Amino acid sequence: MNNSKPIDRLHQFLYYFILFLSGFVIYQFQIEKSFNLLSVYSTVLLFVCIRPFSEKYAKSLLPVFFSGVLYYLYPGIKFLYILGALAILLGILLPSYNFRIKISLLLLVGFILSFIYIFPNTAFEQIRYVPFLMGSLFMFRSISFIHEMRFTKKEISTIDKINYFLLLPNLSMPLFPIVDFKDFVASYAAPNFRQLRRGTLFICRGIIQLLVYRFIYHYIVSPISGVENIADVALYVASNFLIVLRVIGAFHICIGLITLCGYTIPDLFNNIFFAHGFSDLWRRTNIYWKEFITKIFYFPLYFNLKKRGEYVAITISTLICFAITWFLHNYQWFWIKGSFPVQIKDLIFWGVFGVLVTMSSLWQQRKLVHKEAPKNKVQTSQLIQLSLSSLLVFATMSILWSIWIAPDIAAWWQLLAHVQFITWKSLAKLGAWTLGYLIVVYLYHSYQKNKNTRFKTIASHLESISVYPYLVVIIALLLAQVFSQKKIQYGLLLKPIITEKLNKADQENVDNGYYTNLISTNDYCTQVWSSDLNKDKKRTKYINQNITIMTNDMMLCKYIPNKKIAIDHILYTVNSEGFHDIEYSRSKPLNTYRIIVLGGSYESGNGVNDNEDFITLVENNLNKNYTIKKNGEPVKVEIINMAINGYMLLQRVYQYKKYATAYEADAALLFLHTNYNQRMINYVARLLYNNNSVEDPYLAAVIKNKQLKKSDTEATLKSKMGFAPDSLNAYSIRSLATMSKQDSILLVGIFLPAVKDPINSSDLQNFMQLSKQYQFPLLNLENVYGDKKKKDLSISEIDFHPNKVGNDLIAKKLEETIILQQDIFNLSITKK
Amino acid sequence: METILAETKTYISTQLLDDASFPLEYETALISSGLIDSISTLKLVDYLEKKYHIEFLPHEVDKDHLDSIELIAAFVQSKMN
Repeated sequence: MNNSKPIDRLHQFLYYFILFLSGFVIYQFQIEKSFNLLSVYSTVLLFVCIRPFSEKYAKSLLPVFFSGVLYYLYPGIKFLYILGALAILLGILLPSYNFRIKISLLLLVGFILSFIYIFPNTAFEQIRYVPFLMGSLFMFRSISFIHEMRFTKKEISTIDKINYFLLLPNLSMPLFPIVDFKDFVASYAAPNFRQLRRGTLFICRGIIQLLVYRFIYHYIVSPISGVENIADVALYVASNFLIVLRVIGAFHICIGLITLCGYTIPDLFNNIFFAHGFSDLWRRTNIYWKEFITKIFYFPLYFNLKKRGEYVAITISTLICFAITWFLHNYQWFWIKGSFPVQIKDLIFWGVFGVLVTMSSLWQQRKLVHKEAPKNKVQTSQLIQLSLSSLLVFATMSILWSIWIAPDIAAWWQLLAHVQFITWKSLAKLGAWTLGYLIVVYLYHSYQKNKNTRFKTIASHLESISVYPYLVVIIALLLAQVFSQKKIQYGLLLKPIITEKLNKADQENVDNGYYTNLISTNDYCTQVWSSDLNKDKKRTKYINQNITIMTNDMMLCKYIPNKKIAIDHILYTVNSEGFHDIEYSRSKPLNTYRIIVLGGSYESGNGVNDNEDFITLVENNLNKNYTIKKNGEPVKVEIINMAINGYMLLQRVYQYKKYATAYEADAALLFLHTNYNQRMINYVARLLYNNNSVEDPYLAAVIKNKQLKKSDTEATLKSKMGFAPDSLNAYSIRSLATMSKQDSILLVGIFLPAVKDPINSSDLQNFMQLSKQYQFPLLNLENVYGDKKKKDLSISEIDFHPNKVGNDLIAKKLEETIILQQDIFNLSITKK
Repeated sequence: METILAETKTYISTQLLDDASFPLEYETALISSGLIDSISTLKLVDYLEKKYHIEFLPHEVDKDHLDSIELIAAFVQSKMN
């Protein structure tokens, strides 16, 4: 590459320049920041720079670079644990010995790693990243490796084998598991211009696809609640299918990086949105996966079955391969996320897709048997037919995809019901989109069919000229970023796509607990997934998924008794009654003042360790630092935390009914936050949606009078309910006030502002009015957070539940308030 | 060998390709370029098995042996020997 002509050197310089600019775009636009893409990218760039001077050792240097990034991402002892695991797995895989023993040893290691992965223990939690990483590197490649090594007669160097497993992009992209071993090894070449160009173009393509994905995710994908008519349904299903661009873009960057490392592996996606048949789509989508399934499963099955006839062999082999694909997707998800979700919608997606591909393959087989003579010239009618077929495939796959991403089948059916709402405007929109798609796909097929004849010149230079549009786009992106920083009007439009953020729909879903208990094998396409990967960032969601079960009553859900989970050194323990607290006997011990806490996620302390939530801190501090007397007799204060994540006011009424007298409470602390109206609508929607029995007479009357239905979207419920959510909240508080008076239990309201939205005076005014009306005291913890910033008080940038600092501040303020207002509790509290 | 090359080329261009004007050469990449897919590959294997009385094993259906007419002919020849 160094002995090239000046013009070639100029081209090389251009590509190096684009590579550096692309790195800058990755940095500025925070592309795959959650997955540490920048560190992997910079390392590959460094490797590319030194490679021409050290080609002799370049292959051997790759594991060193891999280890460097590994150490950066997992420093200290973590690095050593990973190295140990890598040594064990490579030690099993690389030497030549009996395959059965090799497979048995691999299964044994896999079993041990999966045990570490799923066993809720703090000791294992510290090394939980080991199975995650090993899964990402070995879960499929070890299968491809063993398969090829069984049959290959070629000598393959150990360094090629090591490099096959230690792919640098895997450190940033855990979902990039399959590469064909034979293709990988055969693809190595010394640095050359074509390799540099191909790698750079893949990276540029990937970056642009990821930014287009962000644009679609933020500006086109709408919340399910916003779907009203046939055009909205079409836009919803199509845009949600289009965000698969995230996977495509990320994988293209991986291919580019691997190519720059010397291994020119093949393309992975081939214009999937333009496929003209279902088997054609299967061939264009994740080509590595398709080849892996074909090689390891399809061909052996087909050869076994072909004596029964080609049609039978194709049908059975294809259907079995789709069943295997479904299973392996869940197997993959197990290693990436630690769960093996078996869901009806997954079965429907893979089942229907499998049947469509089988039918398409049989049709193709039939066409080959009754083949017409090939045509010399591509006819317009042929192109129109192909374009219409593409439209059919795109529409079918969008619908199928919408089933896959829906929370469940009923929700999907509810969405689809909106196609009956047809207006002229919606039909015009639908027609325009369809026509637009058909024009694009027609041009695509026209190019594809004529690229060896009419468009031969363009096709042969396409790779070399495509760099210029990429260069223009990259420079434009960087300029736009500058405009955005300077708050220039049009630059601001780009703001949502400059960083990794949840779109409005997902943020709404997270806030409303939509993702509670929702474990899907495909939500990588949303930004929720990236935050989910780092569970500590979205701890509330993780806790909900692992510790909550649904009930069929007014409570909607509850904690699983005696459940214990650990997340990155943080332990979350539920007692035998289903409270996030230590064990308490139901009968109150002598000389005890017992307080129960009715609250939601803030009070249940899911951002912090078991003993670091503000309820426990206040309980411990009061008993440790103060002498507490009731009627002159010293007492110990017990504060039983009955708060459950996501509990609304009406759920707390039933929590009170069930436990307040049973636990002989003296007082009940009712924590009040903000934005309860929207959350009440969400609560009613979930009650209706899950067919829970509505035993509450007031709510039952609201449902009847307002004609609320299970099939109503949240938007419809909101418009039908009008002021009802407000009245339901007031009703809940009134019920608690009445019941507590009857039970002689002191009800104390506590206004605790949210970290996300600390100042909301209208909510406070409302609670003050209710406290006056129903005669219960209200303690105000306004200004609890002082001057602290939201980011310093939250668990993460997307989960605004209070962290340790937040809990400490709340505990301090609550303790001071209780001491100040001790008369309310009829207690005497003095410093020891 | 020449016969295998010519017969295979004729079979592929008339039975597996849609475009008669495609400039198919002995060294043209068939599988890696996406010119023929897995169903067509199996059809080709079936043709070669019947035509030359040979038998493929599942792992032999890959780019190493079938990615070009040259490779196919060489593989068929080695099987026949």
